[in-house]
Amino acid sequence: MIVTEPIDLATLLQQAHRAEAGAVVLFSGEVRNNHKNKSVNYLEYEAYIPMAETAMEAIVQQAIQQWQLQYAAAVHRIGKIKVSESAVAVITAHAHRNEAYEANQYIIERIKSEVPIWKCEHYTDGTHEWGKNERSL
Amino acid sequence: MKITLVTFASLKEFLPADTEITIEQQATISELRRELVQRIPAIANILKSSRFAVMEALVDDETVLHEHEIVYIIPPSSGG
Repeated sequence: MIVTEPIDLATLLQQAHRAEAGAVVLFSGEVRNNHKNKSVNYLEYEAYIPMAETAMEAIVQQAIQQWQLQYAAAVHRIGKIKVSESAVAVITAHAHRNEAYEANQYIIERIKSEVPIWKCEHYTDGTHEWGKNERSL
Repeated sequence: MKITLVTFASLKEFLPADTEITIEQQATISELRRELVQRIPAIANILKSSRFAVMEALVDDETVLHEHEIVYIIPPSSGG
């Protein structure tokens, strides 16, 4: 899911509780105040929304099947995002922690490399730079 | 024929997000890539690693374009 409002991590966590799940892993990718030795003011994300939402849903469904998760969800925020705010959140619930951790990492790595979402770093010196993920296509 | 290009991220700094261009009838994605590099050499590298989509589906280099189609140019992802 793509959202423009702040991601509510507490609500995400609340929705993930399942009686059969002994482990819930919540990952929040947050805006860091520095990048390549430059001071970051804020990030701005944009997405090709219809394709991004379809791709994220497919990745989450793939993880649910592969790890037999009780629950999984992924949310990416777009627009202007301040330092320490969450830009992306992934939550996975499984009977056991190993599977919950593994599936969570699988989902975030695929989101970063495949989903048509882009970040622009805005630095405190007024310059900006479009991001490049190491593992992007 | 005329087609519309929709660009994102760093590509927007070279090609406005919504640009109408005229290309040869029945041009393929690969011909469109060549045409764009010829017009704007600075985007050669980004285009090399970009994917193209028509009607919300990725298309390959051999796909033939049609009049008035909207072509989305998708640079490498940098979300997360």
